[in-house]
Amino acid sequence: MKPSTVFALVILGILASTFLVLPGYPLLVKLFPYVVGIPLAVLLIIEVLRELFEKHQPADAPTSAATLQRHVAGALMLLAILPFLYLLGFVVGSLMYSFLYMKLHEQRWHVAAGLSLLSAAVIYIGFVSILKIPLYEGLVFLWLIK
Amino acid sequence: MDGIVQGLLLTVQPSVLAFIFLGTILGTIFGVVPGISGMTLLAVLLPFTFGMQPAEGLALLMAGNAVCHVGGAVTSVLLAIPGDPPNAATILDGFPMTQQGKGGRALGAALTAATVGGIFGIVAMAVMIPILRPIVLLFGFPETFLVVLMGITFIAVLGKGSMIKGLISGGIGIFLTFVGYQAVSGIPRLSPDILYLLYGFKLIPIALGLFAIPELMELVVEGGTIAKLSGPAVGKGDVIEGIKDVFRHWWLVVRCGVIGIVVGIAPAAGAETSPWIAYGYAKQVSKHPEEFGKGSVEGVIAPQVAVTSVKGGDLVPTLSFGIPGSSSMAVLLGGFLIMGLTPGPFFLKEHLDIAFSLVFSLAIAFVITGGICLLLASRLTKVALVPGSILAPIILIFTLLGAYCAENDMNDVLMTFVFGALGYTMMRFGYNRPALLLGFVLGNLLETTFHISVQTRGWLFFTSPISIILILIMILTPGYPLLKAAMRRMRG
Repeated sequence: MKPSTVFALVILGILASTFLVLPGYPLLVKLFPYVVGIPLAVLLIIEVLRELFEKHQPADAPTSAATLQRHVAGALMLLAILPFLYLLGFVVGSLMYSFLYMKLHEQRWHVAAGLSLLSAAVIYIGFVSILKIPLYEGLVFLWLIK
Repeated sequence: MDGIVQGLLLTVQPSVLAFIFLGTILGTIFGVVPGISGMTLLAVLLPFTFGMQPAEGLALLMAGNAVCHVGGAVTSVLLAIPGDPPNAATILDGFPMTQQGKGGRALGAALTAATVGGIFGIVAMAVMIPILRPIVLLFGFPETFLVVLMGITFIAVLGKGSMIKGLISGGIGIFLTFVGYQAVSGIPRLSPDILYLLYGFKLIPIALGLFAIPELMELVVEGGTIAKLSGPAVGKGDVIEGIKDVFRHWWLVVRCGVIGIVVGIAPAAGAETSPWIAYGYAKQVSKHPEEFGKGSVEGVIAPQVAVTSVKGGDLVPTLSFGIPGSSSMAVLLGGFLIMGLTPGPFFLKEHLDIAFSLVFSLAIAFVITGGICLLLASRLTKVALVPGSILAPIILIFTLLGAYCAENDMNDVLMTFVFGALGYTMMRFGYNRPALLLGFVLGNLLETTFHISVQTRGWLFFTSPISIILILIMILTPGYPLLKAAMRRMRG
């Protein structure tokens, strides 16, 4: 089964689960979700059937292990920012993340350090000092002040 | 006349002028950098408009988004890399001119054409606003419901790729608005024991997730330097010759400007379509069609005029009917909602000053960016050579900062990634992300107008003459290309 078919089936599954819950609501609340949901379910079924019984269209190009690896690595690279932000907060976390990201991609020390410091400075001066936005400070900082 | 004066007074406030300038600078940079579109800039800027006056916030968003195509011309002409996807048509003749040593002339022509086109589109929009007002006042709740539905249908059906996938995307967007308190009854819906979902999904994490994260993912996966070439030198003397070329071909400028405006008014077509139509038209009417594709200055002027004049046309349905003229206008609609404004039939009646302020802001932005690009053309190309490994972490940080700052909630940061995964999957499988966003932006309005229409006019609320015309347009517009294709198949 093609990955795009799996995606359509997942959406259809989520939609079906909402249909199980909707009958418990008053008519005013559930009416419009039915008005939108029923045609949406029909379209998803058509799309799934179209993809399943497609004969003349070529199947999705097989994803090579190397391509898949690159995509997983790319996603992890982006997601890696979350622990930095949750633990160290926006100012320190973004500084550390951007520095490590650039170093991991073999940027020079002065480029990685300079740009990371610059972006952290922009965040601190622009958001904390000027706009007075209470940026998340991170679990480590919160633990330290306790 | 009052609206024009009020709009002008709003625009010349120092804070508004400062935001126009800031938007122009950012838009120029985002335009020059390939792989990051004007729509990404809109998504990134959206959260920062919280708490701004509407004139300030809209000036920032519109200036940033509109001038991207001016900046995008620089890399298209000099490096054969479209800074912004709609600038791709400019490469056809711009890059051959650079290869022939006429890069300066091509750049002068492209940047001047983009500036003139942008101003042309804005003036046309200003003229159309008073004409549209009386038409707009004929619209009640049933007609508004149908117009909103038409907007979502058009962007779903006329967008890139499969029509069914477009409609599914729009439907998912509407369905996402069903989570949380219902606007009509105040009863919480489809949010099982999750406090975050009680107030529904939020616009900013969805917009950032759908558009900024997938582009960043592409940047990270592709790796290396964005532009693989080094920037060629620009002959400064030739730039003035290019500027003169635009005025020599003034009639072509007018005609391509009109093409841009008309395409912009048609919902969902937008900047992606207009430069190609203008290019094809210019080739058809040219005295030297054989030069097209080999370095014709007309082939540079035509798409660049159309790609910026489309912005004025885009704004007409966006402001007057709440139907975005393009995918970037769908994101801009989110900006309107953040600032407490609802584009649509009542917008021009209640906020005419803001509509004209947008006109003046855009005109100023186009003049500033045209001047900056012409002065700094050779230096700007160097931004395109910044490695993705430097750009990616910095853009990611500011994207997540934008998600957080909207409501100071770390859950929004997490949700940005959740919708980023959805956006990336949709992009890979050919689903229509703008349609999903538009469905989400307009979902609540659609449900509210549906209930009011049913309560006031009964189940057959769609039988008024205007409603019937709207339904016919909704069926025939997407149906016509299908019919045409079917007839062609039968003949072939």
